[in-house]
Amino acid sequence: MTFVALDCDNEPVSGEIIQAVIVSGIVLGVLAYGWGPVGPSVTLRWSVRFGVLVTSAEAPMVSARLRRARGIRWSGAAIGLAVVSLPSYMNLIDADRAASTATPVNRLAPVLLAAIGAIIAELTVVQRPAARTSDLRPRSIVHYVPAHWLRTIVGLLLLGAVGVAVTQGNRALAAAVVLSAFVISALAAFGLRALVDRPRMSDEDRSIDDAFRADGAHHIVGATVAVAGSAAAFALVDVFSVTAWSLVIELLAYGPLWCWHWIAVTDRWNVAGARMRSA
Amino acid sequence: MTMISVDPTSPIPVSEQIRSQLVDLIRNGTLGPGTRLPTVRQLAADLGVATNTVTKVFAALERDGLVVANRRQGTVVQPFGERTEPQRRRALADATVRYVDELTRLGVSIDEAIATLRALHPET
Repeated sequence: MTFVALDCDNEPVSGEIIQAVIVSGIVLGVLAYGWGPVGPSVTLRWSVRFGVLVTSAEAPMVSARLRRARGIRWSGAAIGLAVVSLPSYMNLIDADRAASTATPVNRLAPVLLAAIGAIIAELTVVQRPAARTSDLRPRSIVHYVPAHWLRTIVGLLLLGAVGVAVTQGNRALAAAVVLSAFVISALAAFGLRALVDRPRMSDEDRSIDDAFRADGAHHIVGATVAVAGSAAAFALVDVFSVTAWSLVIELLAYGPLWCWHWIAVTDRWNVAGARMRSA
Repeated sequence: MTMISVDPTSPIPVSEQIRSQLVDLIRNGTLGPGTRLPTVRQLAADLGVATNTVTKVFAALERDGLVVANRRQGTVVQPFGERTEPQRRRALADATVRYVDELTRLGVSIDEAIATLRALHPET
């Protein structure tokens, strides 16, 4: 048996190369997860979450739609991670800056792009009217997502605007971050409008159609809460000169990310019930 | 469930198909006073027609006093008592035309119809 010894000591690997490899690995992992197959267990969890019965005949269609939407959403997040983490980007912006995703602005980029991914996932759904019929039941966004999360977004945006007005730190940077949250919220409103107005599926698939809309709305609203919350925290962190308060706000900045996960993945929602409540 | 549909192969214009179905549903009480109609965009998407077509239908229904456009609530079926005088006159004219058409189809004269009306509703 012959052994070959590799000489790794002559050419030290630069930190940027290591970072590029790690980031590429993470991005590829995220993409693989996003575009990976949607198994029966995922479809079952989805059907339980939105209170809809998925028959074996409908399961392939449902899993294909879920896979497509998840793939686009996670592609957005993956692009965001790549943009803020790749060495070429870091050197382009500032050659001396630490290669890290831990700064608030960098932390926001993957969330911003994930939100854009969630919106694109709904805007690109091509659904032709099944039978050119209408049941004349008005559809509203509050049928598909709790109204309190919509109010939360508005509140967080206002909080961010207040933070920009009274911050003692870099006001221009805080304004740019909060402005990006406003832009994402406007795009989210557009995406939600398109989701509500999308032609309905056939009568047999009505409950599945409602569940698709509710799922998409939860993902858009969840990501927008994360963007608006992170932006508000970024604008508010320098409002207080007392370090302890800034630390508390830094910690609270993780709250919107948890809310995002709760809204998009955990929160159960029944469209029929919501429709009855709002009638 | 209340449903309306459009038939693109029909010689009747799509807007007239939508209008006549909505008028029937409102007049026979299926869509009662205060019932909210879908938004223009939603109805247009479901029926696969242009938003302009539905906008024109809603405008015609509003002109006839059958619906009222409200910024907060959207388009809602108008209660009969809240119609303006011109809207009431127009609705009466529409109803009369339909009634006379039916009489003609049955071969009944106007005088005979009026006599029957008086016999059925002597108090009016």
